[in-house]
Amino acid sequence: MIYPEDENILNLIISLDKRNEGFRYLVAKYKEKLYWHVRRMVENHEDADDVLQNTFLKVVKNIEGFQRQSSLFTWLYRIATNESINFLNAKKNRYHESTDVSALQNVASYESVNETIVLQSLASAIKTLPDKQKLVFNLRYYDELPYQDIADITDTSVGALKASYHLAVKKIEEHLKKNV
Amino acid sequence: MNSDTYEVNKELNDLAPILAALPKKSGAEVPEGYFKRVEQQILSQIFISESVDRSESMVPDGYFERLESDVIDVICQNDPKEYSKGKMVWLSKMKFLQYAAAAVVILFASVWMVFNMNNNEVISEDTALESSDAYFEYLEDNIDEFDFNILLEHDLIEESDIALITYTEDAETDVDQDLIFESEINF
Repeated sequence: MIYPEDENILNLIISLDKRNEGFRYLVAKYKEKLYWHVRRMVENHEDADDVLQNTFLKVVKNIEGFQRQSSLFTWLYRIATNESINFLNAKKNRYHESTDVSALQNVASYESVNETIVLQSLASAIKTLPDKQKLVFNLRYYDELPYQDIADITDTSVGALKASYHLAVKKIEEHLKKNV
Repeated sequence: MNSDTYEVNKELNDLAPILAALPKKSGAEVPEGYFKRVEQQILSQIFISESVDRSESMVPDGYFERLESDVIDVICQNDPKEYSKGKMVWLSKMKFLQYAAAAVVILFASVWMVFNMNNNEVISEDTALESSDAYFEYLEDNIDEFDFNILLEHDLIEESDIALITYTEDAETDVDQDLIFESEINF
């Protein structure tokens, strides 16, 4: 399905008579991208589902104040990232750190055993990264975002992001060399 | 492949060839039909929150027309004693009161000025009289010039004093004039 440009979606939302149509496009266009972004951070589906819904509600609540200084896309990612971090912090206070079991269970359904082993190894390598480095790695590796967009989302300089990503990739590469 | 994907993959190849060769799958799964379902759930929540926000910002019909009397009712119910202590003064009538007060002040000032003028005519030299003896002397010499009505009006003499003065004048008796003066100045 082809969705309208972000600018047009925003204009629909701001208009009084086609506001609901604008929301429909917004959710349809970004639900999957944001879901996977959130899912990689919170790791299980139920949590990702909660965070995704909260993210969209927060977007709707604040969209009148969106200044359009950054793109809608990076603004959405930024809100989703903050919601995920808040969720993880709250969860940390409620429970002890969870083990890697959920992530490994998610991978286990792949047909190819070899691929499963590799993906398990990759998942465990990613989990060893510090939170911020993990976020940067996910945004660059899975979402394939330009550094400038990641900088807008994470409020970090492009130089620092590059250094962080390169270090993360090197660590994962070393992990894979040892375990695959 | 867009330019971002190309750039990311090229960078990854240079940095980590093993990782670059792996399929980009997180391996995580989502329940069947989840994205369709969650879209409906999110939109429902958005539309509900929008309608709640809209209804919260609306003012019922005739609200402002009823507001004035509603507020007074609430005040009366909460503290009827306090309310009954004073008379309610409407702000819209305050200007009228200001004009009325100004008119009263002007009226009193006019009366005072007229009275002063008359008074000055009657006892034009009283300010020059420094002692009570001189004052009595003045009264004695000018008794015929006093307007008894004015003195009476201002409670300076009593009606019985007028009768006494008139009687003494008509009878031309030798009533001691000092008695008259004493009664006249007994204020």
